[in-house]
Amino acid sequence: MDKLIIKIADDYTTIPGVREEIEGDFPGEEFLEKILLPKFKQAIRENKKLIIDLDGTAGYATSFLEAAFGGLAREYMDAKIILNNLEFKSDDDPFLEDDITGYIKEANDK
Amino acid sequence: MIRYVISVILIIAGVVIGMGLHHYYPLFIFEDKIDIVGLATLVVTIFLAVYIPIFLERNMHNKRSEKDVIIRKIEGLQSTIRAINYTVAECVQKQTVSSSNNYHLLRLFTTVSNELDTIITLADYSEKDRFKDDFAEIKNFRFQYRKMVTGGDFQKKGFKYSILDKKEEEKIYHRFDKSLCVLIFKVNGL
Repeated sequence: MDKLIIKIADDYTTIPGVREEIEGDFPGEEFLEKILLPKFKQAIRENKKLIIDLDGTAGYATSFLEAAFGGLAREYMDAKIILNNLEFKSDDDPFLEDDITGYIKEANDK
Repeated sequence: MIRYVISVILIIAGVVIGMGLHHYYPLFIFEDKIDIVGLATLVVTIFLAVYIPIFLERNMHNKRSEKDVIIRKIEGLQSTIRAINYTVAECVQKQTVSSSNNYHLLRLFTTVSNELDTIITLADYSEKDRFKDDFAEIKNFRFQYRKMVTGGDFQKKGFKYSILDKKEEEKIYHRFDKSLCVLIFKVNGL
């Protein structure tokens, strides 16, 4: 299966911020709308995996990750489709993938 | 190789000295018959003399070294979460989360993840699956602690931790720290 790649440090920012745009710079919601969601739709359309490269940033707050990846799961109302089509690369923080998977699974419980 | 040569030389020297003493100074009388109990005692004595220093002590020494490395790493993780606890306390005291404290906290959580990953790798290498339940609990505390400290409005301009946030943070911090103390005890008891 072919792959599409988003490297957050190159394609968005090295200093990911908060949840919403009104709260500060580089929020998770903006990342979701401008980068993650369009690329994810493209991946689904073209039957490709979407690789998210999380390395190279100053670090992620829970609110950013929840807004971006939890938001993606809320958009599709289904965690399975998200988890089946996303892959993560995170050498900087070995548990980031677990955390994001948790946010995706919990997204539609709220 | 030198050890083997020295051993052979010592055995030969022992045999030669024994034969010499027997021939020139016949102080000892040797029985022609072999006592089965005496033979068994000799075999057991030689076995213990070789087994204890060579295999048992070496194995115990290696195990102790492995335990020490794992315990040192767990203590390192404890000091990292303590640094998070102090930084949050500082933020509460100053009624603000400065930009430097903000990134300091994010970096500390990255360090927590890497330190925990190292501990799990070392423990698996040493005692596979023995601490599975403990690690599941510790991973859960790491997740909860990160969510507590960097969740909500963290990184929002003007964000500050409330007294109730600090109370909740303290609660998770102490549970996390306690689970690491228990892990040290369990590793030490291996």
